[in-house]
Amino acid sequence: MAKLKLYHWEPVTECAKVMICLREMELDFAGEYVDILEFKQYAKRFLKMNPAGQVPVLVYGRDAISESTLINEFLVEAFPGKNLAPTDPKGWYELQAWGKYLDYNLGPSVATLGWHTTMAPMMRQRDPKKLRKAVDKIPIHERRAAWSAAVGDAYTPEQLADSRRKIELAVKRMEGILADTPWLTGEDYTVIDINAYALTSSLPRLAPEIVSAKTSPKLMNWLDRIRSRPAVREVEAMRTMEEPRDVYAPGPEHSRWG
Amino acid sequence: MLELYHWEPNANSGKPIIALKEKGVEFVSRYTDLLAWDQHKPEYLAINPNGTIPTLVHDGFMMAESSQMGEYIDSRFPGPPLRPKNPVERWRMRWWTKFFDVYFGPSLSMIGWSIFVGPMVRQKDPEELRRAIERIPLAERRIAWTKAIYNKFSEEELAESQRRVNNGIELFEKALEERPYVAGETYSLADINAFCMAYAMPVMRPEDVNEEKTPHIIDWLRRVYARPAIMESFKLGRTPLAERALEVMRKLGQS
Repeated sequence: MAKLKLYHWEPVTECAKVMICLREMELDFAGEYVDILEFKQYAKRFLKMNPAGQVPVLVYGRDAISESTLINEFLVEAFPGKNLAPTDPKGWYELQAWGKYLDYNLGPSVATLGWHTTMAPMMRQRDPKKLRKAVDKIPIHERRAAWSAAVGDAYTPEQLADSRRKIELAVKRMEGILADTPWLTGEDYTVIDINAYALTSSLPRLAPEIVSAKTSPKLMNWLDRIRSRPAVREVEAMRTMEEPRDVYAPGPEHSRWG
Repeated sequence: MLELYHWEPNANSGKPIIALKEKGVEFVSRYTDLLAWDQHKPEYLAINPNGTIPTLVHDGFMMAESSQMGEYIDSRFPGPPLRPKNPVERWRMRWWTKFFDVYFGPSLSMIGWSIFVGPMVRQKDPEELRRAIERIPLAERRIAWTKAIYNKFSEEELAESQRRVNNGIELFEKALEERPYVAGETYSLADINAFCMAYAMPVMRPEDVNEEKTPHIIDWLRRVYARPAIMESFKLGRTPLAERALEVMRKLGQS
């Protein structure tokens, strides 16, 4: 078997998805921490591997596999027999449709709200001139725009409200499903639970008016069940930053069509 | 029973049509007129509550995600495989599919609506338009349709879309320089998805996609157009959109 190496940041959101999946599958990997707050994902060496300048990246033999949801689909297909995904056509469609739903709705929204709430205040303590200079040097147009908005905390009230709305919609959908089945796609714990957990685990603190024992008891219970899994604990122990308690990256883009 | 609700054989509707034709799978074609807002009528919403096209229904199982239904079609039905066996190539197939779905496609359609479809739609009765928008169930789609119909895209948005389309063409040309098909050595769902977005490029953007600037894209287009399933798929078209394909073929010397 080719050796696995994972380039990652803190074990949160997109990085957590893949780290948890690897540990649940009991796949050994060498980890390399990429400090995205120091813009190491735009270093020449990293861009050569992933021209999109984003973590996580899984190196498998000579190939660099990117995009967290697609990495997890790759893992369950390349290393079969771990029962983290259905193999029948219908189950696989549902798994992929869920993956897309979470990535379009939750991923960007949790990132925007999370960055605004916990990261922007922290970044304000850094030298604004140096920070601006570092952002201006980002060689990828889309990412430069995203970081520029993030470090300037330039999110409009409409964008923040839209993120909240999308989180609320997704949480309602998940709460409804978890009222009927123990896991998001049915009787079995799958990569969809992992992906969704990675994006929602901090919501009881980030958006307590949306996620709490009162508003979404099934989701809270589902979060607890996942949090207590050995693989998840192991990954959460890989945390290096101590403050703030919850950390976020500027995250994937929102849909440009509204 | 296998039923496909689709509009013209391009963009999202084109993906499952071509996949089914490539596999040689019989299906019931339910033409759904996007510009008459058939997809927001109660009888359609009863099938797909999101009001998006296409919808694939197989023995009562409803699928609304056009790229993901391609994987269902490939794994559920016999016929030539449309996904590589090698897991890395399969990942590459999905990477490019996502690229066309979230980066290239939305930018291209924003430009298309702004200069082509929008003016066509605005000739309809304003009151009818207003009612049509009100019926759209998803908030996201309602906003997108309002922007599209009334051309509410800002200069910046349109300029950004142009930049992304040009950047996308450049990246796609580089990728095809390295391998004959999008995912690798074999034709896959990623080629189908890319084709559905890029098939008209040589006539829509002749200054960007041509023999000199993008020889690999042109060569790839020739090979994809030559597949019998492509012509079969275009036969399901009812508007001048499908005629653009014939125009491209003439230009590429293929008809």
